[in-house]
Amino acid sequence: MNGSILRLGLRSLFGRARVWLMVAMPVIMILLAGVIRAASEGTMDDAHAESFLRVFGVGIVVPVVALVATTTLINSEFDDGSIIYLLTKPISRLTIIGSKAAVVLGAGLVFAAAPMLLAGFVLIGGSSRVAVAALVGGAVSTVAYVGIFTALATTMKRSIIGCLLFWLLWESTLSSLLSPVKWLSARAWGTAVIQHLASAPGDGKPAVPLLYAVLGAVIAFIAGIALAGQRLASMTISEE
Amino acid sequence: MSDLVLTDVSRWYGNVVAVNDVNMQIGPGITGLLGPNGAGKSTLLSMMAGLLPPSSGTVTIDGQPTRGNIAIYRRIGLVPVQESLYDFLTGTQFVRLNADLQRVATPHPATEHAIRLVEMTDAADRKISTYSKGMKQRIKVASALVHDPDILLLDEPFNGMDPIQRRHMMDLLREFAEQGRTIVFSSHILEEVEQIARHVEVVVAGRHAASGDFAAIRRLMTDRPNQYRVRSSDDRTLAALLLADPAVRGVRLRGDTALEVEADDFGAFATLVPRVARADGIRILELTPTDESLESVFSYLVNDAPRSSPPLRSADTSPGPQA
Repeated sequence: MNGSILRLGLRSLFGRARVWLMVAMPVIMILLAGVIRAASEGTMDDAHAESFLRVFGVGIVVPVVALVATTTLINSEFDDGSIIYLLTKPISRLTIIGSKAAVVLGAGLVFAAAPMLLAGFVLIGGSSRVAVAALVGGAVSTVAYVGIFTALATTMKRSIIGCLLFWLLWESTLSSLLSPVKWLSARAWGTAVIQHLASAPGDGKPAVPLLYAVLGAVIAFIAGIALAGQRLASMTISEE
Repeated sequence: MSDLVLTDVSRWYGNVVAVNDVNMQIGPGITGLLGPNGAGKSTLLSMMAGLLPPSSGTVTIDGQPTRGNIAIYRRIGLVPVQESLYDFLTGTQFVRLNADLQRVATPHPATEHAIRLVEMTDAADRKISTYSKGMKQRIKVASALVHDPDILLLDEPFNGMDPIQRRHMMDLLREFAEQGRTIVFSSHILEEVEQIARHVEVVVAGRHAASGDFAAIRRLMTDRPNQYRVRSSDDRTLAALLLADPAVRGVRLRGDTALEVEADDFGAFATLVPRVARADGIRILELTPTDESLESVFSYLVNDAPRSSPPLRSADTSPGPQA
């Protein structure tokens, strides 16, 4: 971890207009939670709250926030070549990418996972375990997404489209059509964690075991960063 | 005082050879890396900067490899060609970032000094996004100099600069060279290199085509067979007179409108034409070189130039008759 790169990452994330997209997602989620709570007229139960947090929180807010942060800090610097300024310094490749991933992860926890806790409170209050389950599930899913997006961002050309397609095709479409995809899905892992921890009699049982989901996310994170570090070892200063 | 040495360096991407068995020894002073677009200049600079591993061969600075050796970056300053910077930062913040990343002992004065060197003090607290192209280029140079490197690598530093900015940049580089630094810059423009480089390395199609001081390279380039189009008051007579001179390889009448002349020796040909024209009262209406493009110069150097062993060392060739 390198302090200068962390500070640069924060400046990059908050110094531009796209920060508002990152702020808007959790705000919309919490407002929606309030609307749903009001519309339910007291019939809100754990199962409903949990399903909203799974579908909107893990399904949309987590990947969008991770996507905005990753594309700002990693994809765009690769695409426009400004990463060269970091690479020509006496700092290891792994430290560079690790510092960037740490900022992305922090953004995900602050703008996706923590707001899921708040949205849970708004929906069902603090007496239920749903809100805390949402926080943990959001965090696990964020960890996995950051690893996967980081790997895609550094290894693909047109990586922003690659990340988007991964989210829309793999995570959002295929994972609901093909059952085995759940074993390799950041969304399924986050969803499963919420279901395990909330233990609400919701729709169906969790797709994967709790331990598997958590380990899967951690491994995706570490592997993504290792892969990106590897990729950084070979760069040209400009396209000829 | 640092020597940058490339030994048997090749780089290929799949089946495509970008750099082919290049040997160079670059010492203090300004060295121009000259070649047409796509010749492999950026690939070479990337390998010099240790960013790209050579497929074979080694790149060293004073014996230390530049590859897999991040400590070497304390001695290298790199100015990439891209304009994209962290343009949400101010000039000062950007240079300071580089100082911090280099772990410069006194980052604050070092930042101010580097900014002063490139004469950007007045604009230093503005965001980089408001800078002109020339200002961006200067702040990039400041960021590459903030840790006082021995070796400065610049990729196409004069690209898109207006003549004033260009002159300013050239003055800067000369100044750094006088301080004993090793400076390498790439360019595809002959005149740019001619103006400041003491030493030139010519790269064409991934091969090291020539190496030496600029005057010798220039002579090599002008001694190649040149083609001209000549219009005169009496093309047929002029053709006969030109052909009588050994400097002229061939003359062709092109219809009744012009002559196509191929001459071996630029210098001799330049004096021959007015001499014979004056002697026989022929008026020269037009004389145009027809293959002056840099590519043809380069391809001559690679394919046709007489040489003992590649790469062609210009120092080995005898001076032309015009010298």
